[in-house]
Amino acid sequence: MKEADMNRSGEKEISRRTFVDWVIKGGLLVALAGVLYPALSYLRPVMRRGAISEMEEVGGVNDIPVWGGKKVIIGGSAVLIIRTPDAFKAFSAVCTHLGCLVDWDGQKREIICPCHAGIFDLNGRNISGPPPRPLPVYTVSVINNKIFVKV
Amino acid sequence: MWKRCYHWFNERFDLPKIQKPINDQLTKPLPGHISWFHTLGSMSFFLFISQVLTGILLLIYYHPTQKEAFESIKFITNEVYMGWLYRQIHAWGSNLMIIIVFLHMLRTFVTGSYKKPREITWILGVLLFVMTVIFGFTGYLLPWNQLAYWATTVGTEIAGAVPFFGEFLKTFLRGGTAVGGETLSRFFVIHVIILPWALFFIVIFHLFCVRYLGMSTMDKVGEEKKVKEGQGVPFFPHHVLKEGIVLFVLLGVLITLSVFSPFELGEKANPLQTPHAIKPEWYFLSMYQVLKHFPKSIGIFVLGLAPLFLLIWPFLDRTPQRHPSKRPVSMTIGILVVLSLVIFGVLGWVSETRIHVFGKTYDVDMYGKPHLVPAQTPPVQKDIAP
Ligand code: FES
Repeated sequence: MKEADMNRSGEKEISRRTFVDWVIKGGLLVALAGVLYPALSYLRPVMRRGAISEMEEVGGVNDIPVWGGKKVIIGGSAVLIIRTPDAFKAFSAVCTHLGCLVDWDGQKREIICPCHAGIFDLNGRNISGPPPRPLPVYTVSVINNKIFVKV
Repeated sequence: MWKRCYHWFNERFDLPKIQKPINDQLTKPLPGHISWFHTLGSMSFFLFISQVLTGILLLIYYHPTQKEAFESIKFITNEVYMGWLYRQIHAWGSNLMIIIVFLHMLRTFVTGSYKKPREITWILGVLLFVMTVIFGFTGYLLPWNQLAYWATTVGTEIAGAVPFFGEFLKTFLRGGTAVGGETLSRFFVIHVIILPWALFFIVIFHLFCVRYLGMSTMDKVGEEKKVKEGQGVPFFPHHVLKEGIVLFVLLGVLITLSVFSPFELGEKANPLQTPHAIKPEWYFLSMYQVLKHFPKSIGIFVLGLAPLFLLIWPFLDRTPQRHPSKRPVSMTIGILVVLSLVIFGVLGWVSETRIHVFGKTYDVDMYGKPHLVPAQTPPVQKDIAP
């Protein structure tokens, strides 16, 4: 610390030059952050989420035979719809292990993942293989012979 | 003519002054033990240049959109003059580059060249290796075929298992919930703009370090003798000649592979259908195989440690010896790592396939364990109990 920076009682005092120096440095930093923030947020993906409660029509009842399945994409994510004799079921088709798309095996009545032989039952529960969690379940409604899924 | 050019420039720049450091670099003697293994670095550099050039050619016809990517690659392969060749050289070049860069790193490891004062050179080298791998990963998606699409889905899903911000990371990489057009754009930008430039500057820095610090000798740390003028191997022409020969052979290998063993384009990506037993590229296979044995987040942790260890390796191995025979511990570690890479890689390679060995057929499960298929069973009954 230079002598000029001390006042009479010996305390440190910031000289004008140091002060201006700090103001400039601080200003630069703020400006940098001001530039960086919009740049970074620019990189954030735009996720167009539809209204949450919206039902999506995925086809007529007769598109899927009993014990048949169908995969559709709703709002960017793949959904598996299965028809049992008395109901329709909809699951996220994205395997909870590493994200492969599961298939419906109508004969064995299981949902199987082609990647690492993960198997889920009719309720989406993981029953064998590596998947750690059940498949998310979605609500299905049938109105006027049309299938609607709420994601 | 040459004289007049020289004169013209000499009037503007002090040419003798510029020439001197260049000459110094050219005639600089290298340590006597410098061998063919010391050409791996220039081979990596050569491959990088080749990738840049073929990449530029491919860019002329490539369209980075979900709709057109696959078709444009098909167009390059089938219609454009010599298009197939450049695509293959680019594809093979990337695979060779990963091998060569890895071998280069291995050579440095074996000769203890990462020790003081060359720690930074090593760190930059590790960065370059990691970037080469990311190059491979991002470039793999660009043809937008089934394998690429699903390998990328699985790859980014793995990023999603990172604790705390994994989900964010995954969406960030994908540019949405699933791999799609946004992912393609992102990977494209990383692959053709960000990585090439970043790599370029790091390579320059890396080469500067190599030249400035001089090639490592086999002497102990701190006792390195400077190679005197007239001793060792002159960089030019001796070592350069060696490099020339190697590059020539490498070019031959590259073109031979491209012509005789082309990469298939396969089917266009279908976001609704995962192909059976999807696997990543071969250089991710060992990591991928290791991942199968752990719950996802722990696996990520284990895999994340590997590059970290590589980065800080010079600070972990502080023994002064360089010669491999005098470094039993680090050599053992090195050999174990390479062995496990190979073993897990092979396991990953054969997992979930059907192999035939000595007239017997085995179904290999996801962990790479073979299960004998009885002689005359009806075909593919996938889950016969062992
Ligand atoms: S991704 Fe489904 S079992 Fe691995």
